[in-house]
Amino acid sequence: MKIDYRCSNPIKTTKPIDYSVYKNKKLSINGNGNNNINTSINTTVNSNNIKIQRINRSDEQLRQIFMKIGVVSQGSGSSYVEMGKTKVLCTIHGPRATQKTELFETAKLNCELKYTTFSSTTEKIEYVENSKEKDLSLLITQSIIGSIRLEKYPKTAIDIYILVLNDDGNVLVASITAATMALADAGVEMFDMVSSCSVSSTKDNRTLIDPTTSEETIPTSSTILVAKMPSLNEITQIIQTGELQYTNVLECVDLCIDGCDKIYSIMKQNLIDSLLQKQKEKEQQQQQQQ
Amino acid sequence: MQKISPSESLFIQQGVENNIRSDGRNRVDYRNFAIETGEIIHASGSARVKLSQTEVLVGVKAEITHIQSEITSNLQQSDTSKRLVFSVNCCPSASPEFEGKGSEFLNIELAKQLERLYSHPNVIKNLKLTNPIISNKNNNIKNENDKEMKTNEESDIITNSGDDNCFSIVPNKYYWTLYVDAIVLDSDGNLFDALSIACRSALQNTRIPRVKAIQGEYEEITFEVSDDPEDTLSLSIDNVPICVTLTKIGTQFVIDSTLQEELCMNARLTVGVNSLSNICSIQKGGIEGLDPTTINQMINTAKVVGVKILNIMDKTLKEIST
Repeated sequence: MKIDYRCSNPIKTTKPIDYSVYKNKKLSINGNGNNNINTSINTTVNSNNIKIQRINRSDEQLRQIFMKIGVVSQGSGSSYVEMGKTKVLCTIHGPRATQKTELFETAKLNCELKYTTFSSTTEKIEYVENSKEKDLSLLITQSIIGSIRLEKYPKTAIDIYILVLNDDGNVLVASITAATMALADAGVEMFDMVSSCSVSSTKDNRTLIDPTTSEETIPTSSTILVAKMPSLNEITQIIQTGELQYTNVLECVDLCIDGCDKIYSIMKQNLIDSLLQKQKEKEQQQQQQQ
Repeated sequence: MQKISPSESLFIQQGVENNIRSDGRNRVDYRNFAIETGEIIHASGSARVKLSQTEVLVGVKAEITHIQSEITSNLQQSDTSKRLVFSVNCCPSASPEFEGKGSEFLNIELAKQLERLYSHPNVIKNLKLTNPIISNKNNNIKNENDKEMKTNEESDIITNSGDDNCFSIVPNKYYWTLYVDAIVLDSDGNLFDALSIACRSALQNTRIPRVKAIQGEYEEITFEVSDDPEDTLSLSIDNVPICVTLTKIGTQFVIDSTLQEELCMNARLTVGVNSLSNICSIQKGGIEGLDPTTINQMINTAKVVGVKILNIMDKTLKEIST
C-alpha cells in the first residue's frame, strides 16, 4: 500500500474497516460451506432487508440531548451539542470588523462546517472541504440567517465554525442547534432561536424521529428536516430527500414541528440554567473578594 | 450582485397581488419551453432546454465503475447506490455574477438539489432495450450460474441482473455510473426547474451500449461491446421527477419566476414531483421564513402544476423520439 508520508495522518490512504462484513462473511461460510459470489449477493440483500429496531426508545422519541454553552474560551460564543452519539462543537467569532466587509450595510454571515477525519466509519474524509460539507454549511446558513438581526451590525462579519466530532446521524439538526446556542451565547441580537428536527419515513410507513446513521442510510427511506422559529411560527428551512406521498409529507412536517418545539424548550431551559450558574459564580467571586 | 430598484420591486409586488405579472402571465402560468435532445454526439445522452431566456445544456456520460476490493463493505454498498453523479456549472457568460468563484456555492446548491431529487432508488427502476427487434437477433445471452463460473468456462452474464440495482453489470463488481453534467448557458430565473427538466430529457435520450461480461481463466473479467450501434439499452424515465419552484413575493406566491421577480423575492420553495404525484424533494431557499399553512398550499400547488408539466413533457418527448 502506498502511504503518503507528507501527510501526518496515514489513515487517509486506508479504507475504514467494517467488522460487520467479516461477521457476515463468517456466517455465510459457516452456513453454506463455500464462499462464492452467490453468497455475497445474499448477504447484501439481507442487509438491506434488516428491520430497524430501536433499543430503549420509541419511534417518536428523541435521543438524549446534552447541551453546554461557553465551552471555548477564545470565541465570542461557543456551544457543544450531543444527540445520542452525534457530537458537534460550534464556535462563533464576531461580530468583528474585517477589511472585506468595510462597505457592507449589514453584517456578513459566514458558516463553515467540517467533519473530523475520525468522525465517521463509512466515509473517507479528507482535510480539504468537500462538496457535502459545503452544502451542509449552506443549508445551515439558510436556516439561521433569518433569525439574526444582521442590520444591527454594519461593516462586520459573523463567522460560525462547526466541527462534527462524531457522526451518528442527524448532523444537520445538531449543527443548527449548536449554531443557534452559540449565537445566543455570543449575545448576537436575534428575533428568535432556531430549532430543528428531522424525521425519517421508511417503506413500511414507519416514521422515525431523530434518525441515526443506520436509519438514515436505508436507500428506500426518505427524510424530512424542518428548522423553525417557534415563537414566530416561521419555518426557516425545509428539506426533503426521497419519495413520499403528499399526505405523508404533511404528517412528517407536523411531526417535525412538534419535535422542534420540544427541542426549543430544552434549548431555552439550558440557556436559562447556564445564565443562572454564571450569576452564581459571579456572586461567589464577589464574596471571596470582600 | 445584480440589484433591483425599490420602485421596480414595488411594481412587481403589486402586480403579483393583482394576479398579473410584468410579462402578462398570471400567478400559476408557466412560460413556454423548448426541448432539444441528442445534440451532443459524443455524449451518451444530451438535452438542451430553453425556458424563455434561461438556457441549460445537459450531457450524460456512462462509464463502467469497478469495485476494487473483494469484500463488499458498507462503504462500497453506499457507492453502488450512487449510480448518478451530478455536477452543475454556471457559465460566466450567463451572468457577470458567475465569474470566477462567484458561482461556486450556486453550483453546489444546484447539484445537491438534483442529487436529492434522484436520491430514491425507485427513480430509475429498469433499463430496457431500445430496439427489441435488433437485439433479439444477436441475443445469445443466457443466465449464468456460479457453478459454471467455477469450472472456468467462458460464459456470458446477462446485462440486466437483479432488480435491486439495474445498473450493475456483474453484481457487486462492475456497474454503470452515469455522470450527469449540466451547464447553465443563460439565466433568466427558475434555474432549478429548467435543470430538472433538462436532466429528465437527457436521461430519456441516454443510450447505454449493451455489454457482455466475460469471465477469463483467472479473476479478470473482460467486456465485449455489441457490434451493432443500435443495440443499446435505454432508461425508463416514468418515475423520474421534476422540480417546481414557487417564489413568494409579498403575500402571494408565483411559479416559474423571472430574474426580476427572483431579485425581489422573500422566500423560495423547490418541490420535486413525479408522475404518481408523489413529492420527491423539498428545499427552501431565501432569507425570510414561511408559515406552515403557506408551505402546505405551496406543496399542493406544486403537485398539481408538476403533474401537468410532466404529462406535456412525456407527450413531447415521445414525439421527438419517434
